[in-house]
Amino acid sequence: MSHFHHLEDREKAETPEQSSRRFKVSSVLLAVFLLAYGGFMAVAVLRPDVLKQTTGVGNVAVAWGLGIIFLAFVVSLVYGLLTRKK
Amino acid sequence: MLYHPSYLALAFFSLLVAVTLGLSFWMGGKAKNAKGYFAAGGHIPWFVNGIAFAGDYLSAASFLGICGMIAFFGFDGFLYSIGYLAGWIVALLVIAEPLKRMGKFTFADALDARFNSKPLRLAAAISTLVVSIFYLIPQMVGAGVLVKPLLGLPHWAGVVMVGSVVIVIVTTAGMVSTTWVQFIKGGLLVVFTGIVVVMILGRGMEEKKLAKHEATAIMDDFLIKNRDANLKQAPNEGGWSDKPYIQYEKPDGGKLVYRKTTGEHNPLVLPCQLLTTTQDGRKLVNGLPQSDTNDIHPVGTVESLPGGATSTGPLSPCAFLETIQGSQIATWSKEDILEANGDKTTVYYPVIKSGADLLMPGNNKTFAGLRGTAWQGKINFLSLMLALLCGTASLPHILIRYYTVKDAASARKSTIVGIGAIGIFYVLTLFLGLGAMVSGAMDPTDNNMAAPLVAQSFSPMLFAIISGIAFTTVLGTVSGLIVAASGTVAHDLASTLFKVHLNDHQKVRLARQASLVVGAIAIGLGIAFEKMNVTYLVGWAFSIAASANLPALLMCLFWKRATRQGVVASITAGALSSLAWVLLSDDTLKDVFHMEPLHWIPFSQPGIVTIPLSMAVGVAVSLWTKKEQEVERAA
Repeated sequence: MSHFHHLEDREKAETPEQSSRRFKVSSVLLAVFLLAYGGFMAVAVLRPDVLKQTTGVGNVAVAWGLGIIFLAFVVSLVYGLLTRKK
Repeated sequence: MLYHPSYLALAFFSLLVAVTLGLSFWMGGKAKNAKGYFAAGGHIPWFVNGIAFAGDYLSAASFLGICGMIAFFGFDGFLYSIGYLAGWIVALLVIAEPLKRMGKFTFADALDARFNSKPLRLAAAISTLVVSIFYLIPQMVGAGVLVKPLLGLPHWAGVVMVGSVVIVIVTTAGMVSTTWVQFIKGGLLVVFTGIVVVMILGRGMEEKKLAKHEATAIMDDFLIKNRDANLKQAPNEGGWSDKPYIQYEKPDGGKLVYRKTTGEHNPLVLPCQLLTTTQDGRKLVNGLPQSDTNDIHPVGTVESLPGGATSTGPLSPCAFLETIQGSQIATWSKEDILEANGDKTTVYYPVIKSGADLLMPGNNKTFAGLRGTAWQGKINFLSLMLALLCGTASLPHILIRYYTVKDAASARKSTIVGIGAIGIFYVLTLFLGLGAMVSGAMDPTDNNMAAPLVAQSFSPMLFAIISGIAFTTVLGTVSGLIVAASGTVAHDLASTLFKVHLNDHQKVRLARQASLVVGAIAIGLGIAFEKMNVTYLVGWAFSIAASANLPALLMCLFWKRATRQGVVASITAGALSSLAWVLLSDDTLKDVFHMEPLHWIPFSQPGIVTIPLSMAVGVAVSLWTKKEQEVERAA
């Protein structure tokens, strides 16, 4: 094995429990986020009239778009909190 | 529009460059060995790395391109913001930690850690170089586009200037100085965009009607009413024939052109602006030579506010969006016309749109398919949004930033900071773009100038600062790309393709030489592609990265039965199919190569076909080679 594959500065691998927990948390969060993202795209293609409805921040398209950005931040925070090392 | 060199902008930019170069030389000492040079020793604090993620990611395309697109087409620009940010969630939840655990310096490292295969390292290295170069070209072209109006220098001068500064930054201290440049740039970008947005909200909106004329029942009536002794109606000849314009000639040779349009109640004629390039290269504005007193005037105004108000006063963010939704806004489009004498004229004409329409997707050409009935347009939209979602997590210059922090937990924390900073920036961009749309300061000839120009509508100082930051934006992203590319040359190609075994110092020296070469190539391409539309290239880079790298990464990180042949096949199939798709698509042939469309490719965005294709090829080849290996073993 070449000189580049020295692993001394690579951290220890996760335990199988940590790894499966992280996998579970990230799968659920990813599914929630993709539902919001994919949902927007599906509505934009299939029912654009829904996006036109007025809301307190312009229309549904703007509210949904801002919501996706906000959700991204929430999802990343939740992920950070749930996978914190005990 | 004519621009005068802004010495303030130059001074501010020079200050930023001086600070970053100072940092580079000061930190040069810390980048002696390979880990220091390629991964900043893994010592970058996670918060700094998080803001540097934002600095790395928020390229000139994000800052100038998205803001300009929102300013001229409304919601469509925001779709890019949503897609670019969504990509980060994939990066955080799927890629960040396993990648950090497997790799050392480059994307190829991570793949190689599992298979230890030379062909695989080679394929990953080539894919890194291709994506980096595709991403570098628009950044360099962007530098030239910026320098022309801001500093009054020719395109090539901007490209050479940015290229040289970046080469110095990268060769002195590699990833260390690159990270700090990106930290400074990311921080400044978010803070100053925030300041401009607060000023936009504080100013509110004001009604400013266009000098339009109602054309009563018959259009001729307008002509009679406006037939002034000094104006002579000119015939619509050459490219003007069959177009909805009415032209007048003034006694001094100037032109007055109106465009017929259908108003809400009556047909209207609206005043246009003309920019003509004569065959001998002179520029004419409305028929007369372009000068400070005869120039394209700035545009972007509110025709009517909700409730008949004439101005709003300061607005809260929600009230601002509500007001846009209820207003009528004059946006500007353009049309190219070939004159009978061979001169080329671009007509800039106002289109009065409702705010409600501008806050819906589909105003820009890229997303217009959403409003049509053809399925291709809708698939094209979905394909682009898929590429944005998958592209971020596979851009080489983003991937290498996971190696600059000490462990997987820091990689995770810095990604969260990055998502926060980038998210805030994209929300601000929506207000910045919409504020620019109604600022009355837009240049209809150049969408990319929207952000600096809206700042100028407040003060020349703010214009200088925003322009300076825009330059630094290019510096930061280009440095990251050059580190990624040169790291690949020194670390992946040298040791596998050319079978050279280098010690740490030699490797850093080779990486420095490689940055010099990659930097020089980037300068050359930036000059050569001056006329190319930069948003195309950014889109290409995302599509190619998403198709070539993401399926390979996923298989490598999460699928036990993946084989090295499968991963190599996946990278190759993804890269080749997406590259062929973009190069042969009708949009590229027409707009980039100025050729007749071939109609071979049904829609222009490849992602929706090539990402699954790359995955399918990888899975099929893995299963097939696995069986062979098992047969061999059994035998």
